[in-house]
Amino acid sequence: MTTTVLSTSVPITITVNGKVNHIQISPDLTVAELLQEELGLSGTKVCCGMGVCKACTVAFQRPGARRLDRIQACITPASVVEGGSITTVEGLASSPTQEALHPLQSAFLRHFSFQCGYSAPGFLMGAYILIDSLKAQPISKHQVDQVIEEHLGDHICRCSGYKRYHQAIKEVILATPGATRT
Amino acid sequence: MGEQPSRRQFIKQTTLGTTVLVVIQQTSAWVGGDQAQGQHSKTLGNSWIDAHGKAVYRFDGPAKVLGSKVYGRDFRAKDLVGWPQTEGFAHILRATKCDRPFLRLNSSALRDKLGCDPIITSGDLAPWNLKAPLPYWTPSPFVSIGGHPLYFGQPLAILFFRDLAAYRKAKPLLADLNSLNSFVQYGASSSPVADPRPPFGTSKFVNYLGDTGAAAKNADDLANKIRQELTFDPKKESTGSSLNKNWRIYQRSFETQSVDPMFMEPECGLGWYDSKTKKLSLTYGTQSPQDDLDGILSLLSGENAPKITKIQLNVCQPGGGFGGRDLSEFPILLALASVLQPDTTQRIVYSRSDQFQAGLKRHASQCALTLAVNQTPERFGKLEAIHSTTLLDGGGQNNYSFAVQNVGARNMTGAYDFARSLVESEARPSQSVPAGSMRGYGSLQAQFALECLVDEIASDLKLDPVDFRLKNLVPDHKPMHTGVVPAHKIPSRRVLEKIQESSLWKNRHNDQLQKSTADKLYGVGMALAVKSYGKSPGDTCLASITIAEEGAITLSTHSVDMGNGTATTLPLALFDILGRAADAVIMGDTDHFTPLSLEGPKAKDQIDQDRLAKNPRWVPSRSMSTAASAGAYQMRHPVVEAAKIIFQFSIWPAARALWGIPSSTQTEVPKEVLWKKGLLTYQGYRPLTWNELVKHIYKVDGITGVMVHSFYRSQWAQGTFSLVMAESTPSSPPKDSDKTAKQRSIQIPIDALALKNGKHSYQVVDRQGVEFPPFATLMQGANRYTPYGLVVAVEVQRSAGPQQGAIKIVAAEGYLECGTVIQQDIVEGQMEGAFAMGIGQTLLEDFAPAPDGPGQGGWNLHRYQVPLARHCALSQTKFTTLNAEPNEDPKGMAEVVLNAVPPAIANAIAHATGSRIRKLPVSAEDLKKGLL
Repeated sequence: MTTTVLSTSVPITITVNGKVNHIQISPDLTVAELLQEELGLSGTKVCCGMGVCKACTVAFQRPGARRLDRIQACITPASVVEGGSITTVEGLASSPTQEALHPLQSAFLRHFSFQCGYSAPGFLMGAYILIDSLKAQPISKHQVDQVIEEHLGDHICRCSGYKRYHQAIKEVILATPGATRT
Repeated sequence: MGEQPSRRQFIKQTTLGTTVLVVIQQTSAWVGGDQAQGQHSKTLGNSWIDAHGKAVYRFDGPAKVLGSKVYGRDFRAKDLVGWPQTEGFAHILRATKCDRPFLRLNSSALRDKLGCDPIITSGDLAPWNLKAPLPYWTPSPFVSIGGHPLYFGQPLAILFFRDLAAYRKAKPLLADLNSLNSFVQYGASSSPVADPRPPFGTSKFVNYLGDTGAAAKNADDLANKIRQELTFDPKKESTGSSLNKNWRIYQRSFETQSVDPMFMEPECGLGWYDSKTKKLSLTYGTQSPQDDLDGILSLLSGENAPKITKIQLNVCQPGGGFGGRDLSEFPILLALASVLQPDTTQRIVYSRSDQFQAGLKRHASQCALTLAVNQTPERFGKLEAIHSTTLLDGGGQNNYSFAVQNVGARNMTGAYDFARSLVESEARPSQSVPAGSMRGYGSLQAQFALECLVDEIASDLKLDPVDFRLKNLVPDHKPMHTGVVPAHKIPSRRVLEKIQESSLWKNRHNDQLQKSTADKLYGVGMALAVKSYGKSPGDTCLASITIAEEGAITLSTHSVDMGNGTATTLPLALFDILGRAADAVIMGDTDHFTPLSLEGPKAKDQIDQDRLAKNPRWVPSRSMSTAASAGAYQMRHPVVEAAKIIFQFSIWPAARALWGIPSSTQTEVPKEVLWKKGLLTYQGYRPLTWNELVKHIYKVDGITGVMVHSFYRSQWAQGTFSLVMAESTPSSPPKDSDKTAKQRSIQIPIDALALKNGKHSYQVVDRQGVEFPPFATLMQGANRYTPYGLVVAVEVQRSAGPQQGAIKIVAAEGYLECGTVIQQDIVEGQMEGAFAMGIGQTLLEDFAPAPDGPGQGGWNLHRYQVPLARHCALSQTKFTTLNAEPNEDPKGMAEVVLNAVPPAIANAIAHATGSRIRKLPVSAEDLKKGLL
């Protein structure tokens, strides 16, 4: 547990990647700023700063909720996530070893999904949230492409052309028990 | 170093060859690796490659999927060991008016409202007498007090904020353009005047039946002759007779727009100037580390400028580049901010809006293109002549514009053979945001015009577009219009034949009949792009391979992986030679090459070059920035050569000793000596492990590191070096008496060499002789080319309504001949990414013209549409690489795969609608006229 005191003061409690943080923050601090400047978690990327490109996507679990929501960390006030739990790209793997990678991380590597990689954390987290939702509401296998487009179609990548991101995500969805129905 | 060097000495020494610069590139690691300071690359082992020497994932991939700190934006002062923890912020205030002089800032109001202090303008910097960072740049990045801003977005001032809280507080006001402008006092507006600056660059290539007009007057005569022969008869509308009645003349005008590279990570970084030691430390992502540092030192070389004794640059992995981080002004501004606020860490963190306002752009272009085609039965459909006049908008700063227009002109004729050619090109200054060396490098603009008009001519002559192109290809080994003889066959024919076989192309007419409806028009178009790769002044490539005592191989190179995959492909180059890939890679590493002791200056002519070449440390160029298309061929070359030296002069002698083969009987490596499953094998001898060999090499003080510099300009420089093989028998300890020194003089395609023996440090090996490419090749340009063919199918909304004229890409097939493919996934990824980027260039991306363009501020992705997955027909695209000839070199390909996209889409639209596209981006409004 870490405690950080900032110059201005709104106390919040937020769990990030399983770690509880009691923090006093400026009321207008965004989730991205909280993660990057206060918690040292720079894996969540900021590109447009206005919620368009989705590079800053993180998974958010509201207090008491079972499922994950998507939030754009660059425009979401940190005060909004009070009491909830955030998962960032740094929290996907149980440890930084090849064996402990999340299946999405492994698939992104296997498919050479990214080039510069700056959009990769946003795609990873968007796909992570999608798979979480599919576990609650499985889809037919033939719907997978459409669902990926619906959920990740607004993510911007400038290098890759998207194809390999979608291939990797599709592969993981199809391999995830309970995400699709026959 | 001894005493403090004089300024002049210092500048001389701060190119390669001294210990002044320390450049560190973040590297990939499964564990750890979050500290910026120090070369912390961890050994990955060879788990990232398969048994065939192919990568199973990108070398830099693990760090990126784990969210490790690799980009400039990831780092804070607390991540950088030894840096001041006081972290201030600098913000660049920029000009939004160019029609009036900049008088002053309302500094007191700025301080009160924004909380910034100090505020630095050009007036404050005047005593430093700033020098131009590059010879062709303006001396100061800042608008002079009382002077007109040269361009929209030119820096007016640096505003300093004491900490993050103060900067955050000011951000809403900094983003409010009206509010911000109220602090800037301009003089009275004046009517627009022409930019007084001369063109940034001009090119003219003439070729009349093989005569390239060596004499200027002759060139002018030839040019006039071509102009006369191509005289257009306006009475004939689209085509007209010329003086030559056998020709049909097609004269068209084309326009392409400026776009933003829109790499995902806006520029950002940290700087720290230590006022006691005069050391400047910088951390950011760049494509051009050496040029950046030279530029900073030049800028601050005035007598009263702060002294710099050392620069440490932590080169981060760029979050995209595409040319936008090559000679960017960002490092200059970061350095200035650092020396202005010494003994603190200063951060400049561009927002996306800042990046749109300040970042390098693609040159907008206007091209007047005239082609003549023979209409006699004997030569029907043969292209006879070309005349192009291209104007590029270089924006406010000459950032590679001189080279971009030149490369565009060199690639103007594409794959085709013209008996008569007059290609003229000019880049001009303007008030737009500076344009740079964005992917395509001028050739995108050229090939859009050419491929659209070639397609139109084929259609007009009722010829199949592919057949027409096949008929007009440059024959093998024939000089291009520039006079350059390609170094190899350009396999355009193979690419076109593949297009002919593709289902999308073969079935286009039937598909059009079946898929066009009352609501939609379907069409298929193709384009063939041919792009040279390599730099006109020559390609300068550095690499070293160092083997640690425990066997791990570290590859160092000065080039930067900006996502194009060189951090993966370069270490793979070792596999066939050393039986394994590198275990660690350090990119952007410049200081490491100090032991080569390279010396300048640049030669002025052949006599000068011959004189300079007598100095065994002299090289034509010491370093160069990273260009995307130079990775596969040029940058790979020194890696391969270093590996070959290790194998021949270190591994082989060790193996021979371990196998008990007398050194006198086998000095050359027999071809039967092969790596099999990581073991070195030779008929009848026991296989040797890598670690066994390395252990022996260390025992005998054999070569454990090879560092090379190589230079390409139409051909590789060939150096002669004397190398020593150190040997001993395996059964005895390495006494001096056991060592057999075998000295051999060899010629290798490198021009500088340093070796590391055993645990010793690198020592330069003086060159005994050298054959540099003739000086005349300096003006010839690159002589290696890659062809790429693309077929695209589109649907155009026909029915009236808000969607009328909307264009949808529905399928594509691309065929690339890029020689030996080092890593299929990376090549295909480049093709896929270029396809998306090309769609953006063709259909989506655009700026309002000045004064409402990006330099005005306020631009972001809410008004600048880049392609999304839904624009790219993901499941209906297929990108194929053609098989290479045996032992064929890899070819550069990252740019050519972009160049074919705009004309292929435009030609598909023409097939669908009958409307020829000559202006980008294509708008629905433009198409509506043809659809109604």
